[in-house]
Amino acid sequence: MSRVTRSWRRRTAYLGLSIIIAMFIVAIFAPYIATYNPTQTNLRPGARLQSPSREHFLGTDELGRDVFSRMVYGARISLTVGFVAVGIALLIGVTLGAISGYFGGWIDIVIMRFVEIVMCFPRLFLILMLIAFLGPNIVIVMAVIGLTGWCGLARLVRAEFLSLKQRDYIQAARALGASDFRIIFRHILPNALGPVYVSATLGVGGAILTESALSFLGLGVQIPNPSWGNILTSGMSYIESAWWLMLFPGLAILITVLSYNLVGEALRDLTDPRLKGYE
Amino acid sequence: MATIVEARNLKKYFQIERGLLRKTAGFIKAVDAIDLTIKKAEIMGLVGESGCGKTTVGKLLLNLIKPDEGEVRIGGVDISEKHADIDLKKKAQIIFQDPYGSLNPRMKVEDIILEGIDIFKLYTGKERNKRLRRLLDIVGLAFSAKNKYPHQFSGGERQRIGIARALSVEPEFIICDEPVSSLDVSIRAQVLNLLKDLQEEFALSYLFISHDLNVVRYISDRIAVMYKGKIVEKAESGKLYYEPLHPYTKYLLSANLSAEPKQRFKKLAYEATEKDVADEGKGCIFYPLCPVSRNICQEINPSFEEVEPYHYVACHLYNR
Amino acid sequence: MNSNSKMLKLRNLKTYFYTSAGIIKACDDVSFDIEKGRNLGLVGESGCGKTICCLSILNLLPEEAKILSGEVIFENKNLLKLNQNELRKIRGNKISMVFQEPMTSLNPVLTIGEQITEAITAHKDISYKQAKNEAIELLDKVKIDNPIQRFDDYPHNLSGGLRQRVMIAMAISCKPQILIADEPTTALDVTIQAKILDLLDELQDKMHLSVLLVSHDFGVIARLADKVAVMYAGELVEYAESKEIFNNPLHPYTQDLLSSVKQLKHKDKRLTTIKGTVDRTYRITNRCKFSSRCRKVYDRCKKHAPNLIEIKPSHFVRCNRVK
Repeated sequence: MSRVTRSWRRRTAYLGLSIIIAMFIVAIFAPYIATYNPTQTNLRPGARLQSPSREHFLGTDELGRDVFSRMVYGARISLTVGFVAVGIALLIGVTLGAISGYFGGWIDIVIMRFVEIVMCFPRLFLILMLIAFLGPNIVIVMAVIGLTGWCGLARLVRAEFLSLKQRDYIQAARALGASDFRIIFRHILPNALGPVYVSATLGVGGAILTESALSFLGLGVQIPNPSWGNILTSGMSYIESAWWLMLFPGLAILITVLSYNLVGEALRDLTDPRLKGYE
Repeated sequence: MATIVEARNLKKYFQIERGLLRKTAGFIKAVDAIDLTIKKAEIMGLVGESGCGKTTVGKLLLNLIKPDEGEVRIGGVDISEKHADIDLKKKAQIIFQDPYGSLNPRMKVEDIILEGIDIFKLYTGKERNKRLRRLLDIVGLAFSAKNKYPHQFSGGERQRIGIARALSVEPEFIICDEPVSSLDVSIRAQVLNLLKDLQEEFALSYLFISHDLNVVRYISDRIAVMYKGKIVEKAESGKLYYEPLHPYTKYLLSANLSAEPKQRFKKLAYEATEKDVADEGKGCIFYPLCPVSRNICQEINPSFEEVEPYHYVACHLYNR
Repeated sequence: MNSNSKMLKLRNLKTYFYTSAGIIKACDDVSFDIEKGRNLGLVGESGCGKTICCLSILNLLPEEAKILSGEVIFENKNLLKLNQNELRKIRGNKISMVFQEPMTSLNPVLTIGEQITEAITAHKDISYKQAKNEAIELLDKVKIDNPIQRFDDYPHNLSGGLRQRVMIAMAISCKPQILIADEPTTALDVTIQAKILDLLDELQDKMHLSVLLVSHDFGVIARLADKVAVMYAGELVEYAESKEIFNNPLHPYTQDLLSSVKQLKHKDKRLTTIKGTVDRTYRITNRCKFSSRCRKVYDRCKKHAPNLIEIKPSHFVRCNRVK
């Protein structure tokens, strides 16, 4: 990779990382950062659809609620969904991939066929179906994204296990009497997680996007609870008069997902076997 | 003198799979009826070119792979028995060729070296620390190395870490699988000296596997030559080097180069053109490349016999 | 030895690597000659710069490397000053190179025949059919049996030894004057290595080729080299006829290196070792690079970097101790 590309990667990665950290702080300290109660409506004349001002940084929506505060609490939702969904995917994917890659044989065959079946599930339709039956629920969204999103991770982990299994230090551990459990968790797994970090990071971005889309359609977070997606919904109706209702949540989603992608890409480059150096 | 390692009729075959449905197309006889005995405090060299099965033999002796036939006894105990497993780990260990792949890059040196001790909980606390200090001292590494990671060391130093790891459980027998082949010449000497010193100090037995005849000859007491899964000759190392009997050994020696100017125009003993074999499985495995073969060599597999005191060969030229 | 027999003159080559960790002096003031009809062996341990030297001759260096100074005189021209077009006429044509790992040097999706033909048509303006015939002849020349069938084989159908022969065939296809072979047999079995070295010897004889052989193995060097250059940490430390180097090495590094190999013949003695590791503190310039490990070191060695001096006719040494 040329020097220019490398420094560009590094700089954008730091930028992305800073944004992610900032987002975290905002989400954790939401009650202290928000200027108003996000669900408190204000129907007095003139309070609705105010453009951004010093009192309302990002303006107010059609029910007089402060957009900035709603955005801040919305960050909580986005990050929670992102991390819980990916967390579920990691748990399932890494475990199955490790078992499949390590033991091989019929265990490997069975698990891989299972992976292929799950991969065929149309995720969005599944979510829509469940919501139709059980009503809109953020937990369903998180669960389904997680339960259908682990397949790529499983394959990645399996591939790493297959190649690392042959390394001499694994043979050495066996010769010293290490149990399968010890070899999997102490020796192979720490070395196999490289591509997982990348995939997981990119996965968070994807999960946030999915949640926003669903909330936008009214199938995720329900009003009056704020999510970037459902702020966008109201924004649609007032697109010409109250541009701030569409712009800010839209930007927030864009910047957040982009940040995760930048960090993920940088991680991918870092864990590249090009770290051989001169010699 | 006591026998540490005894292997009889060891066989390991690998399936060749062909085609989309991975049907079994045949077998590769990686190890084909090997007999091996190693005495206490003896260094046995195992020499051969790639694919001859020498690394597989090492793994079989350590129970890292299970044989298809035959048995291995270490310290008199059959290693295939379940209860023998723990004792085996403490009696027999292994050092690898690749100093970069033989250590877990994410483990500290301390944990790498003491893994055997930790798994079996042989020592804890102060005693454990003492052991670590002693092991690092034996292989010539500073105590401060314990908190570092493998990538902070050179190839030779990593090899020393691997040796310390093998020594940690106080084995009687160590398999050295090409331990110096990946090292620079000047480092090679250091590691060979170390291996020799350790062998003397602890009365260890080694199976020294290598493709480099010069190194094997230097360190080994006896040498066994392998070709395509079989041992074709076995003798005391000096005798094998200067008075080889088997045609393959002679061929190997003629290809061996040493650092002498008279090597300048040394050619290979003969240009081996491969003869066709009517029936694979019958006859001597070296028949296709042998310059002095006779008809019987195609028909009957020569038996491994002692044709001179302590000098064994599998060749019809010498069979009684 | 008159200068007409010197085909390639390398003078004061300095190739440095500019990395984020600092400057690495891969080749530091290296000079040697390749003589007509004679082989030069470049020997040293890993990291000594021997490969970089060869790549510098043909300007095949990676991005981080820069040739700071020096000249490579070949056919009355300085190769380091030529542009890419002119260099392309020399690479593969007049000066060829063979590398260590034939599997990665060959294209796995083309047959070996196609690759050799490509090498020929790159430099000669002849038809594909003619080139194909030449390719088959070349396969025969490098002693590959059934050349007509082998023409259609893919690299993965061939063993390591055969692949290396294909590489050599490609390298000699345009009858070069110099063949640079960088550790050509290191990845091969001993008996295969012997065959390849025999082949190189024969080709040298038949084609009046000069081989620049790079290796860390003194046995290989002894087999093929007429003249030997020993490198340490980017510098040339000894340069002499092969017989001289092996029978009468003068530099302590050469002496120690050779003895640890020769001593393998004496079972019961300990081997000579060279203490320490390569001194990579490249910032310090005014001392002998080998001084921290040398058993003959004395005061002057830490203050004065020795020059390459012709101690005896045709025997050059870089050492403060040797006068």
